[in-house]
Amino acid sequence: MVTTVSLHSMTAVSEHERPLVMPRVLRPHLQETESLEQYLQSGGYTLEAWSRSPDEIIALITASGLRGRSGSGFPTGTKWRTVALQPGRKVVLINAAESEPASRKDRTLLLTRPHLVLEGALLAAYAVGADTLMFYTHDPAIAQTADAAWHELKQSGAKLPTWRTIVGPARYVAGEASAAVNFINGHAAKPTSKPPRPHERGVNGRPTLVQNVETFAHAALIVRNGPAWFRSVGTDELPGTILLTLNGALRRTGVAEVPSGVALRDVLEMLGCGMPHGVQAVLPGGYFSGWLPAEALHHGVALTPSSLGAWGSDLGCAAITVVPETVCGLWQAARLLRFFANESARQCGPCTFGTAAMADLMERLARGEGRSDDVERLRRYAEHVLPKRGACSHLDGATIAVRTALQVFQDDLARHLRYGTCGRPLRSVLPGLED
Amino acid sequence: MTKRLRLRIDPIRCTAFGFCAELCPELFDLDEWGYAWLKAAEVDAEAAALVRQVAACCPRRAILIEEVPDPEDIDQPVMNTQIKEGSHA
Repeated sequence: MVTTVSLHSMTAVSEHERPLVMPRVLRPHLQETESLEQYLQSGGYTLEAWSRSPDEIIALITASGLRGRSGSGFPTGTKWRTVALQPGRKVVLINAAESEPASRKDRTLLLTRPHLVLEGALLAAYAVGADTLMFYTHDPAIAQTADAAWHELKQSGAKLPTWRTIVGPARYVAGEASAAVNFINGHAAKPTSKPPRPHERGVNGRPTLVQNVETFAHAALIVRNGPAWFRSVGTDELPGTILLTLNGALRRTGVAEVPSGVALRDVLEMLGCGMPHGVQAVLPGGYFSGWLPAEALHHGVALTPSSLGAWGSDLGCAAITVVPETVCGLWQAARLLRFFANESARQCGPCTFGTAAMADLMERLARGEGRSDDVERLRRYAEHVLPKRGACSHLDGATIAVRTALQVFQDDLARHLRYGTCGRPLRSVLPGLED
Repeated sequence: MTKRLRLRIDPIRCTAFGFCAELCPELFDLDEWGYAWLKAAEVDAEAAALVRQVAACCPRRAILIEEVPDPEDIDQPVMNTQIKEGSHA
């Protein structure tokens, strides 16, 4: 068995991305890339899993209640069935373009357990009738690990579909499903207007199943262990475990796997080892799911879409960032909006101009140069003018960031309007958006 | 019998010519950057001729019109309307 692991990927796993807890898709104490041999020993590619028919596989995934783990939470079984029903040969696209700066879960999973992701994708290809497997990422190190795992599999003599890895640009919107398909088809990595969606007309015009890395890993385990096993942890709304990325003002940061529905406060205190500088606010679901007030922690907010949704936020891709009490909250909100403005694909007018206008207003307020009607303008943009006016969800992410920020940083806002400052430094703690 | 029509503006195609709001201010408005937005997402069959005329006048062909299917016409749920816009997977 030939194991090809780049030195780069090994250091990335051991030094920066060491998983915290890992009951299911992650493996405890796995410091380097799992080889095919190790994967087979851990129960990979069982005869039982691979003796099922495509219909049976889709039925298992549907019964498990698995939802896509990229942030949208669409039921995976429904998606697979829809692609399977399309005519002709299909394509399965593994979307490893984890372009959300606060999220490192897919990267950690791929660098440690590429074979689990590949088995899930191969099962999907078999279930939907795809003869081509594509791997899309923005990170050459991840592409290298995936390629190495694929060649390992190929050398074992397995009969495999066509394989191709594609390294796209490291831009936020480039990870959106239709942007990925566009890039592979030779166009700019920008989202398109829908329809047609990738499942109707995707890579080379063929129906394409685009699925996130973590989703494939769960799918492989569901086919192996059954839907009842999968549902034995987590909530009815979101069964199974979820991968988290912990960032910000915590004693320990990194990637962890927890059952869905656990209290956010427990996660921060036990896995994050506490918040030494207090909590002002939290971004619980990455950069596109809105702000959560610290108060929600004391009310037992849990890691499910509905519990976070009750506070106006969402689980998103479960990249959790804690903002401490020691920095200006409005400045975090302003930096986040500047990120949305900088990362706009500049295709849709409302997104191009709207994200920039909202970032300008929030920055002005944070710097103490704002007027009271600036707040009203921000509110009008985020509530009435801009929602649902982009071809992809980028603009909606920005409006959610504004709507929740106006709530969560309400007191801060009043202080900034009155005194020009809240007395705390304008220093960003958001990963990838440092000043 | 003609069906109700659903209107959409393709945000990538719209480049703020603004003809729609000029021709049909009842249905179209412009934001402060000049891009069109809809006052109503659906119109009755009686407005069909007007709406098609406005759509034909758009230099960017950014106004999309589709018939609203009757509920009994749908055999099985189609995924199009269910997948969230712009998910990263």
